[in-house]
Parts: sequence; C-alpha cells; structure tokens
Amino acid sequence: MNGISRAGDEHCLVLNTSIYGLDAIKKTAYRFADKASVILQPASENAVSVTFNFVGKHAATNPEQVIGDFCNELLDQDLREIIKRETTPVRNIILAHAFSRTSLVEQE
Amino acid sequence: MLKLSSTIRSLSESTETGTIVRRITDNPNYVPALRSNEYFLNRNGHAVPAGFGGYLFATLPVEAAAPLNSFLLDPEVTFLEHGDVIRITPDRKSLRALYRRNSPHNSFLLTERCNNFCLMCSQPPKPNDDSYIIDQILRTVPLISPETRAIGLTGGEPTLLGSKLIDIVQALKANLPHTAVHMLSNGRNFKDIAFARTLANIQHHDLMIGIPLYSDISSIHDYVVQADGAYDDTIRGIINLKSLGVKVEIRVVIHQATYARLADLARFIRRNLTFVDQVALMGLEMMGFTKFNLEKLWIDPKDYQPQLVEAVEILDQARIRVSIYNHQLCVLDPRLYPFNRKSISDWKNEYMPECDDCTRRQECGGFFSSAKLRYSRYITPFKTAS
Amino acid sequence: MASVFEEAVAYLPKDSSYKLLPFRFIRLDPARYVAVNEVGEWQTLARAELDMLVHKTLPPENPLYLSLKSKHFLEDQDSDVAIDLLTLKRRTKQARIPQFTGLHMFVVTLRCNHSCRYCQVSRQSEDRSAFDMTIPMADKGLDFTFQSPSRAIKIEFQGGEPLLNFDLIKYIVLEAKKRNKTENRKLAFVIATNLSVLSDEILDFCRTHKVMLSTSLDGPEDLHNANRPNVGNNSYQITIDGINKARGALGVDQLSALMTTTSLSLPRVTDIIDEYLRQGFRGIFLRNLSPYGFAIKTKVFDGYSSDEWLNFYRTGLDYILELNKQGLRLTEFFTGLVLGKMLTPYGTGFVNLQSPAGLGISAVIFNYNGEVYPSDEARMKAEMGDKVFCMGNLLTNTYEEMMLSTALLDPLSDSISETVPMCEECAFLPYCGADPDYHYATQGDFVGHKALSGFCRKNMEVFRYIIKKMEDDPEARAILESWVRW
Repeated sequence: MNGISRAGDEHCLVLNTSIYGLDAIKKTAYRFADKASVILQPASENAVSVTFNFVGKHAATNPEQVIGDFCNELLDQDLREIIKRETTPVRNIILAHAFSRTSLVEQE
Repeated sequence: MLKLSSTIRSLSESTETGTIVRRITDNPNYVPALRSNEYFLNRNGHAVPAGFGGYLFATLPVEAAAPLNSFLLDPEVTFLEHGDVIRITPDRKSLRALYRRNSPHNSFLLTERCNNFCLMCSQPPKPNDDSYIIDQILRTVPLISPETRAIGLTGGEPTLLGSKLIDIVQALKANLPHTAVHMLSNGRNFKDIAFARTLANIQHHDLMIGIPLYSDISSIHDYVVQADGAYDDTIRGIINLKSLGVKVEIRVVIHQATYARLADLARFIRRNLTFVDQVALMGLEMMGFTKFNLEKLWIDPKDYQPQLVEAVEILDQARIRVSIYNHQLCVLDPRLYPFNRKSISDWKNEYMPECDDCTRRQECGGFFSSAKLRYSRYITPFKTAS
Repeated sequence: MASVFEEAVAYLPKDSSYKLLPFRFIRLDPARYVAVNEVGEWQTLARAELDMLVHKTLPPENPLYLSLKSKHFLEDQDSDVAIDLLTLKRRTKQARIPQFTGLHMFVVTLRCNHSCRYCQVSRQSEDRSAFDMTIPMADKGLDFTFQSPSRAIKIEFQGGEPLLNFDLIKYIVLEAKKRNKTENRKLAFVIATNLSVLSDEILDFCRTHKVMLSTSLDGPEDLHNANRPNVGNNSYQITIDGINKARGALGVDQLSALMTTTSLSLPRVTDIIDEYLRQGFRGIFLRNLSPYGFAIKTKVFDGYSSDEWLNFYRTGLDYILELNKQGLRLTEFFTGLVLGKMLTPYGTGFVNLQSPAGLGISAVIFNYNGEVYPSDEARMKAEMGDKVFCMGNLLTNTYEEMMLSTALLDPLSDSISETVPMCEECAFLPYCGADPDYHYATQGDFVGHKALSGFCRKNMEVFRYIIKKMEDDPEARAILESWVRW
C-alpha cells in the first residue's frame, strides 16, 4: 500500500517492499539525484518511506510530476529485475565465449 | 534450349566395357601418340583418320567398315565440340556431354539425393543410390581443359557424398589449378566442424560454396526447404565454413514465401553474417517442384521490386557484393541494373514473343525456357538502347 | 495426388513459449520505449508491449514478435542458434580491444601563436628548450608506438602549434617510416595545426610522405576570430588561406577541419554549417567542449548546460538532414559514428564512445616533456596541475610500467559501463562509452554519478533523437544510413 504525504518542503511516499523490491527502490532513488534529494528509511516491517526534498536547485521542479515519474520508473525497475533474473545465465555464457581465446566453434 | 544428350547407334564393336567416358576432338591431325585416348568427331564424311580410340559420326561413313568403337550420332546433335567430354551408356544407346569446353557454365550433378525438399526445387530429389556418378566425374576431371574458368558442383545435396565429395574437390584442385569451383549446398552438413575442416584443408585455390538462406526467421526458412531444423544447421554450416576461411555465397530465391521479409533478411545477413563473400538474389525457375507449388510460390517480379530494392541497398551499403540473377531488365527497377547479372546458362535461355523488338535483348538474360509456364505480365520491349 | 509438401503452419514452434535473451530498455518518448539487445540492435515498442514481452505473453501473431525474434531479443522452440550468433556479434563489437592502441599523439611543442579561448595547454613563448619535445623522447615515443600490436597505427602531431617544431615532425615521420619497413603496419600521419605557418617546404614534405592536416574552423569569420584570436592578424583568414593552400598542394581529401563549440557557437549552428559548405567541406563534426584546460583555470569556462548544447546539436542535425533532402550530400560525423554502433556489428574507434574507455588501450599521448598520458584530456588535466592520469615518462619508464600503471588501470577498470550504476542497466550502453577523464574533471572520480553527468545527459538525448529520426522519418533514415562507414 502506498500513499504520498506532505510536510513542508518534504513529500513522503510509502512503498510496500513485498511489491517493490528494495533494490528497485534504491536504484530508482539513485536515478533521481538530479531531480530531488531522496532519502530512504524503513517505515514498518514491509514498508520503506521515500522522502523527496525539493530545495535549492530542485526548488523549481513540479513535485507531483517528479513523484509520478519516480513511480513509473519503479515499475520499469521491476521489469528490469525480471529480465535480469532470466537472462543473466545466458548473458554470462555469451560473454564467456565472446571473450575466450579459443575459437567459438571448438566449443561444440 | 540446347540439348546436351542424344541417342546414338553403335556402328561397330565396342572394345570398352561399362560406361564410356572420353574426350573428343575434331582435329584429324591430332598428335598420333595420343590418339588412342581420344574419340574423333567426324562431322563431314571425309576420310577417317586412323589411330583414335573411338569415332563419332555425324553421317554414315562412306567406308564399308567403320573402325572399332564407332557410333552414329543423332542428326539433331550440334552441341559437340573439340575438347568436350562425353559419356556413353553401357547399352551404347545414349550419349551425353558431361563437359563442354566452350561453355562458361559447366557443372556436375553429384547426386540427386537431398536432405531438404524445397518447395521450388529445380532438381527434385530422388532417394536412389546414384554413387556411380562419382566415378564418372573422377574420370572426367583429368580430361577437362585446363583453361576452364569454372566448374559447378550441384545436386541434390553434394555433401551427402561425404568423403567422396572431398575426393572430387581434391581432384579438381590437383588437375585444374586455375579453375574455380562453385558448389551449391544447403550447408547443413557443415555444422559438423570436422567435415567442414576436411573440405577447408584441401586448400582449394578458388572454392566458393553457394548456400541458400530464405529468411531471417527459422520457421519460414524451414517451411521453404520443408525440413525442420534446417535453418539452424545451415547457419551453423555457414559460420563453420567462414571460420575456416572457405568462401560462402548466400543465395535467396525470391517468391511468395520469401519476398515479404527480404529486407529483414538483408538486415539479418548484414548484422549476423557480415563475413559472407557475396549474396545472390534469384528469380524463380519454373522447373521441378515449382510447377507443383506454383500457386504457393508465384508472385510477379514487378510486384516485389520495392522489397528487392530495399534489400539490395541494405547489403550494398555494407559493401557486401550483391548480384541479381534470372530477372528480365524490363521488370527490374532501374536502380538495380548495376547488380543484375546475365547468367542463365546458355543451354537454358530463351526469349518471349514480346521480346522480339527489344533493343536490350543482348544485355538481358532473357528467360529459362521453362518460363513459358508463367512469366511477368509486364514484359515490355525497350525501344531505344540507353 | 495428396501433397507431399507441408504448409507453413507445420513449421511453426510447437507452442508459443519463448525465452528472453539479454536486453535493456529505456523510455524513448512519451509514447514509446526502446529495447536494445546486448550488441546494440534496437526495437521500439509501447510500454504495454514491453510488459507482455517480459511476462511471456507476447503472441506470435503480433508483428513485433518476428522482429524481436530476428533481432535476438527472444528465442523460441524453433531455433537455438541465437546464442551462437550473439556470441559472434559480441566478439565483433569488442574486436578493437585486442587490436590495442592505434592512435599515438606526439606533442612536439607547447609553443603557439594563437590564444584560443578554450585552449587547454598552449604557451606564448619562444623558449624551445622549455617547451619542445626532444629527439630522445621522440625515439622513445616511437619505441612505445611500435610495441602496440595494432596493424594500423596513426601518429598525430599536437601542440601548441606543432608546425612551430616542424623539424621534429620530419624526424618522427621519417624515423617511423624507416622502422615500418620491418614492422609493416598500416601507418598514417596527421598534423593538428592552425595552418598559420604553412610553408612550401612543409607542404612538400606532407605531400611526399602523405601526411594529412587537420585544422580548426569554428564557423564564420566573426565567430572563428572571437574564439581563436591571433593578435594582429585575422585568424579566420589565415585558416581559409591555409585550407586552400593545403588543398591545392595535397589534395582535398588530405585536409580536414574540426569545429569547437563555445557559448558563442551555440546560437550559430546553421551559420557554422553554412561556413563549412562554403569552404567546400562535405562533412562536419558537431563537437562539444571538454570542461577543462586553460578555460577553467582562467575562469572563462563556457559553462553552458547540456541542454543548450543539445539544442545546438538537434538544430544542426535537422538543418543538415534538410540540406540532404534537397540533394546536397553533407555528413554529420558524430552522428555517423553513433549510427555505426547502432547499425553495424562493429565497434567504434572513436575514443569517447568506448567501454572500456579508450584510455591507453585505444589512444596514448606523449607530452612535450616525455610524460605519457592516456588521452588528450588527461594531458590537459596535468597542465592544470593534476597529474592523476600520468602513466610515466618515456625517458625513465618502460612500456610495461606505463601500460600497467595504476594511473591507467584504475580509471579503465573503475569505469567499465557494465559495472557501473545506471550504465549497467541503461538501454544505450552499447552505444555509449565510459569517460573517466570527463567525470574526474567534473565530479572528482572516474565514474561519476550519471544522473548528474552532462556526458550522460547529452549522449542519452543524442541516442534518443537519432532513434526517433530513424523510426519516424523514412527519408531521414535513408540519409542517416548512408553516413555509416562500413
């Protein structure tokens, strides 16, 4: 369950970690460094609070827009996790062969 | 269309047994020491020179008794020339030219067996054991004139010969060090790297394998060649051959099942098989299985020009050599003229009635004689040569 | 007669299940996403389609399916040759790595007779002993150069104004060619020069030994002179006269020009392009400004944001495409390089779009004092007082010591895109590169926080812009494809 609350310059979003993986949340927060100051804190056993602070050079931005983009990006991160889980083994094989010294066809 | 075979009649006792494979000459002053190896082609009923291994008469000889190993040719036969190699069947009733010295398009059919079953196969496969062909070819190779530019190896599927194929290529290398060899193969058996290596190890000076690839999509290619798994095998075969330094040409026959994704195939080749030596885009031949599958295959070449132009541009941009075969100039988009090759074998080509007044007949390859069955409705003679 | 031939449907996969092959994705514009595979093949698609693709519900009848299969985003029951091909393609993309260092730059002197606003290094001085490279350094530099296994070696002369030390250039060219008799590499020479001291003797030498010239042309006269003042002279006129003289003596293909972008250039992109056309060039490289050197030190740094440069780039590219549509052949080289990564199986020799970075392993520079740096920007950093990238000195260190120095290996290994936050999951990774010197200069470390990186922002928008052009404008696409050097 998530919702956005506001306190002064701070906007706070609570995310359920059984829906949004913690890694996905962190990666998304990292990406938004140019749009807001983002602080992550545990909210409860299954929740993380994401606090957005729009001050200084971020003061002019539209908070709702940024938070909306943040949520969209979270969904994208979720997709990326799925792709990564499935394709990492294949990718490792491709890289191992691509960078090996032996001829590709000798692997048969 | 030029006939390459004929019925014959024995005129005297034959001292050879089995299939006869001999080279012929029309030179009555041929080196006496070597005459016993050659058969003499006697065209004009003059005095018969002595000492040849055998004789082919165009007309009945005037002498009472024909020399040993004499045969009378069918009156229609006009195709035999000095330096050709002929085969006479064991029953001594038919003759065929296996090699024609003056033809730019000599090729050997190595077998009629095949492990594909293409919808448009112009040489429908037969499962018979035709390994006797190999022996005839090995006997022909030493008789081939060394100035011969190129020899083709076709089938069926040549690689089904296994080590015998290697023997043939080796014989071609040993006997004809200045002759190129162009082999048509579906490439599937070259997925076995060891087999590909035995071919590469011959180190033939000028060998190219022409391998068809009909789509970037496996299921479409497999459908066209009517064999499950053929696409994967063919791709692996191409990769293996190229990794061993053997030249590969990719061939695409353009018809209903292949024209729609032609540009996608070109992009696929450019991205995945950039290392191929050339690409040949071919018009449909109305022979063999094509007739049976005509409704599945026929599309007027005029109607697929946009796809063809796009595909050629994609490959040409990557500086992959592209050639177009078996198309008439009047149905080709003019942008494609630089890529068009006049290539229909001289014993196969003909023109349609519409072509009578065309000023570019010579440049244009015309048609296969089989094209009478169906050809483009846009055939139009050129009025001025440009 | 019953048909012995099967229908197409008989060859379709037995069920509609498929596996994903490695790919990344990013939002392209409000309506579309773009997915890019391990080797840079791309596919635009809607977010909903991306979702279906990843959740394995994309049906084979969807037109997207065949395209994704052909481009190796997915693999179904029908065929398992995708991995073989992806491996070949991946290997091809990185083939330049074992080829190793190609570009070797020799800073033959720091002396210069211009005072370009953005110049990183030059000195207004007559003192040769202080600012000229010596022959022993040049010899060591050539030793270093031929240690590289690369078949193709390019030797580039930099400065200051290199022609002010033409004697050393002559020495290096002749010595290199002498060594090449046994080395048998493909050797190329180029001098980066302002053309102000172009004598007949110099031109003769260049013609004889096929030495190419590369000069700076920043735009029309007023812009060029504002950027590149030469006291008492008209720098623009000197450049134009030099271009014509050089072309006449060497041939039009032996002389190239590069522009440098300053804040003064930003509103003038069409003027700059017109100037290039007027001077007979049929290609231009829309460069951005590196953020250091003399400029920062003297606090006249043209601090323009990435967005302003992007406007400059987009306007310039649109203008060039428009000119092409009207029948004029004009190439934008930066876009051409990016397109090479997008459309061909090959990697790039352009050092700014390489990962691992081109530092050392692609290019190396020998400074006038013998010090060795892995890029021109790294040398500039040194001139500003920070020798973090200094690999060693030709006179005192061996090839192994320098190529294996932490000064080189740390930035290389720290910045590999596949190992770095945001880059490792970025759809544009195959098109982009690592730029440790840029990030060190702007953020203080070799990697940088990409959300705050002008390099990242610029590149991402360039890639988006090019892909959208290819997708939305077929005429532009044909023009863009013709710019790729295969």
